Parts: sequence; C-alpha cells; structure tokens
Amino acid sequence: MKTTIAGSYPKIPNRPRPAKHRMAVARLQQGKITIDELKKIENDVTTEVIEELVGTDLDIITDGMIRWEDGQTPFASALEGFERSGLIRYFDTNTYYRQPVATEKIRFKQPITVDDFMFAKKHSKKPVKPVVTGPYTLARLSENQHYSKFSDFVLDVARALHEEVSALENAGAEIIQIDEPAILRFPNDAGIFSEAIRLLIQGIKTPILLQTFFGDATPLWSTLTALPVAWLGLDLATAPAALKTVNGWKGGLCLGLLDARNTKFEDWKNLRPKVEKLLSNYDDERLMLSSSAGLEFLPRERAEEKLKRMVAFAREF
Amino acid sequence: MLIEETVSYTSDKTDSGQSLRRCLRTTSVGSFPKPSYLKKARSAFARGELSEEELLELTKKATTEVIHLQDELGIDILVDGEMYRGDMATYFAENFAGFEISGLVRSYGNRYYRKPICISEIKYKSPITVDWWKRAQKLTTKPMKAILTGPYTMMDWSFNEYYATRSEFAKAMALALREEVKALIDAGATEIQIDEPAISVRPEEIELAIESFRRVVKDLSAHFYTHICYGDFTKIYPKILELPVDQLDLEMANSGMDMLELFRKHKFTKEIGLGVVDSHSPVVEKKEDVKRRIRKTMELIDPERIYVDPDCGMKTRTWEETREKLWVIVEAVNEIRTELKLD
Repeated sequence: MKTTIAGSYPKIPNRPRPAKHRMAVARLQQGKITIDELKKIENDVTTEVIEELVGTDLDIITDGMIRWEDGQTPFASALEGFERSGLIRYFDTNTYYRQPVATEKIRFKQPITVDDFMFAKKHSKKPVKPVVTGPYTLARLSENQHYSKFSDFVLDVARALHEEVSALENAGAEIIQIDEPAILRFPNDAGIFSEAIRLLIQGIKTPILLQTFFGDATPLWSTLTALPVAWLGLDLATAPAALKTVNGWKGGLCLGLLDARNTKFEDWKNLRPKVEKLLSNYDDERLMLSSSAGLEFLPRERAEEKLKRMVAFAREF
Repeated sequence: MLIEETVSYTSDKTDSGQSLRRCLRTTSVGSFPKPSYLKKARSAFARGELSEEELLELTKKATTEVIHLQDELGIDILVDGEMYRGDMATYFAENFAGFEISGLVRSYGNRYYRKPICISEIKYKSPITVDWWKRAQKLTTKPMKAILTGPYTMMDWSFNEYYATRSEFAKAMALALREEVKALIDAGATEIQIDEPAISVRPEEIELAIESFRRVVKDLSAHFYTHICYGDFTKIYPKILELPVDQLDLEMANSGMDMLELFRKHKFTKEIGLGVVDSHSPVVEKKEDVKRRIRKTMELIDPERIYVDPDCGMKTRTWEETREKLWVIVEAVNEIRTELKLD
C-alpha cells in the first residue's frame, strides 16, 4: 500500500526554524528584493520541503506547492482570459483565495507547472506527483463575466488545462493529480463535470488521480467510477462513512484518512480494521493512503508528524 | 493594576449630559490599526526583549489614541480598538482553560496566524476583557462597546482534539463565554458585541450557531450586537433573524449592497450595523457614495435602527486610511441628518 500527500505542504516552519518564505514575500512587498530573488528563495524552500517529505518516507510526494498563493491563482494567471479579483473564502475553510474572473475566452498560452515539476523531480529521490486544479473547480471558483453558459466556460477551461496535463505527461510525470473539490457541492453538474474531465485527459496515458475533498464523494460514485481515471481520491476525514460504500470500482482508491484540517493525530489502530476490510475488495496495489486534502491548514511540524505516522501505519501491511 | 469600580454611562445621555443621537448612530466594528510603536513592542515582547509592564503601558497609550480619535471625529458608540489582541479567536482561546495555541498557519497571501487547539474541557477562568473595557470606558463619555468572539466562530476557527462533535464544542464554548458576558454586564457594559463571522460559512449549521449564541445571552440584559462577514448571507437569510441579538452588523459595502434585495423580499426585523466603507481596501470612499448607501438602506429600514460603520475591523488599514474612512462616515451621516432633520 503506497502513501502520498494530497497537495500542498505548509510554507513555513515554526520557531526556531526561520520562516524564509514568509520573510521573502514580505521583503518583496516592501521592495527590498526582486521577483527573481524571491524565486530563488522559493526554490530553496521547495528543496527543503522535498527533503522533509522524502524524510517522512512517503512513496509519492508533491513539491508542496510552495509557489502557489492558492489553488486557483497559478492557473488563472497563466491562462489567457482570466483576470484576478478580490479575496474570497475557500469553501468552508478559514482561508481565502483571489477569485479569478473570466473576462475573455479561456485559452492555454504556455506550460504552467512544468518547470516546477522538473525542478522537483530533479531534487527528489521519490516520484513527484504534479497537481492541477481541475476545470470544473477552477471555473466554479471563478466569476464568469464572459460566457453566456457555465458549461461553455467549464469546457474551455478543460481544453486549456488539457494542454497542461499533456505537457506534464511529456515532462515525465508518473502520475498526475487533478483536484476537483467543487463538484461535491454541485452534484447536479455531474454531466458537465464528466464531459470536462474526459476532455481534460483525452489521450493521456499517464495515470490520473482524480482528487475530491471537503465533502462526501459517494453520492457521485456512479459518475466518478465511470470516468477513465486510474485513481479516485476521497476525503475520509470529512466523510468517514464513505469507506463503507466504495466497493465495485476497478481502479485505485486513494484513501484520505489523514485529516488535513485538524491537528489531532489519527487513531490508526482504530482505522486498521476498516482498511483491512477494504483490502478484501482491493488488492494493496490499488490502495494508497493520503491526506484528506492539502496540508497547508496545519502547522508545519504537525503536518510532518502526521505524515510519518501514516507511513508507519501503511508499512504494517 | 485592576480597576475594581463599576464604570457606566447612562444609555440615553453621555456623562457630559449630551443626548445620544437617535438616528443613524455611528460606530466601528472592533479593531483599529496598531501604531508602529505598538507593533514593534509586541514583536519585542514575543522575542523576550520587552517586559509585560512595558508592553502594557504602550498598549494603554495606543488604546487612548484610538478612543481620542473616535471622540474627535464624533463617533457615537466607541470601541477600544483591540490594541491588546492579536487574532480574534486566539486571543480568547489563550484566556480560557482547555486551549493551547498552534504553530503558524496561513490564512491567505502572506498572512499567518496561530490557531487555537482545543485539547481539554473548555472552562472560564477569570474575566478576560473586563479590565480593558473599564479602562476604555473611563476615557470617554460616549458608550464603549465590549467585543467578544462568539461560540460558533471560536469553535469553527479552532482545531478540535477534545470534543466528539462540533456541536458539543460550540455549546461548551457558549457556556464559558456566557461567564464573560455576565462579568461585562456586572462591570457596567450595556453595549455588547459578540462576533460571529463564521456563521455564514456552513449554512447547514445555522441552527447550531443560533442555539450556541442563545446559550451565551439567554436571560441576560444588554444591547447585543453581532458582526457577520465573508460568507454567503443569502443562504442564512432570513433564518439569521432568529439569532437572539438586537443588531446584525453586516458588510454592506463589500457585498455591493446586494443584501438590500434580500430585505425587500423578507423584511429585516432587527437593527442593522451598516458597513458602508470597505475595510479591506485602502481606497477611501467618496462621501456621496456613502450617503447613497445609507439613503438606499433608509428606504427599507428606519434610521433609528441603522448604525453606520465600516464593513469590518480596520486592523489591516493604516491609521490615516482609518481616520479618513471614519471621517467620510461621520460627514455623510451628518449631512443626511441635516438634510432630513433627523434627531
């Protein structure tokens, strides 16, 4: 049973370790360093985070998304057709993101995360999983001032992000994670969501992990399991009961059992029988343990310790 | 040093005998920007380079400045500016039994805060804000609002390692906060604001939020306010009118006054704290725009039930921006009062 992290990692550690990233952003805002100097510090911090994640012994890591202000901004600011607006709450978290605004037709310009992926790959002993915010979620979290129909907006974002997924495949990604939390809030959009995901990954050979979080994915189970993806990622911290209803899927299950939004350590002993039961339906190559979402909601040291404990649990099997 | 005596003002008249205005009273939501000397002092204190007494003196100095600024501008109901607080949830968590404070977590951009962690049963220890409230009230003849963070928001903005459910957590928090409200009332506070900015985030939990709030204020007598912001208000309206408060303070400027459309469909039955300037933008609003917002609200709500203020706390603005934004509010209100001959 492999282990991974479902996206982001806290950008700064706590004292006495220095908050390099935070200080660098503050110095950039004060005009004391240039954007190139910030990028160099982001590379240094990313390298440190990769070492830390490799140190937890996860099988598949991410680069921690240190450069991302939030899940939407890197993609919206690199695609043609988006502008940035004010801060808005990110789902039911106490965090905020810059809301993208679609003011023109959305088009792909050039690879967005490929350089970051290549950098991470070069600095990691473990496979690196790039993460792309999915077309439905990116459109749903944006304001639409251009398209008369939301579905046209979603499909154009899917076409644009397809280029990004292709670029990541060409760059050698072994697995690509697509984040789609928003669909859990709008199950009636299952049709357009499916169409968008199919467009997004059309012709892609790299295994795709479709990651849902902040809700229960089982009401959409028939939609999700009909998609040509290799892995489905579930937030089992938010919806623990979902574990009972996830049988009958031929692909892999990424079990988000590590609660990304609470400092409380998981009771792995108590979770063991549930995982064992799943193993009677899924062989261990089709199960992966993960966090329920990105880990930026936690203090850095707690995130690291939680990952270590999850890995230790996985090694028991 | 503790100040033991009860401090109060009479609810209709200030100590100088001047009547409080009846219509379009002006106020603030809570926080003011900390002066740079206080920010430096708080950092120095955190590094162990400044004593608690030295920090306290500077905090009192800043509080006095905040109160004088509001008095000079002619604000009707004052706040102490929360110079002694960091984050609005963490400050209270530090003062109740049952919490510890986490390492830094990011809220957006480059902003980080230390989030409370509930690790055992929450219990009230001793008054938290009462001395500050008394100190502030003594500095003005106008009524001074006491401001607390509500039980639902405290729960939602904390990590929970102790309670089995969110409901148990919020209800325990409510009982502890109730003791603080009682202590404030005993000290003479009549204007008490219990902020619930998280209340609109999970509409499915609105019943829990209302019930928790009820536990805080049940059978207690004061003029209760709550401040709500950053969420989908449409999903909790009109249900939110069941919250046992006199006044709902809302971020009307930031929401483009869309809420008024809701009020046309379903009558707004409480006093409104009408946020008419954007606390999160450095751009100072034009007086005519602020007047238009107030007048538009007056089409639906009587001026006696309108309290005009900024959208939210001002701590992310500069001192000058805060002064200018409050000045625009006061000028706009004064002009409307003159034009319409309001009390």
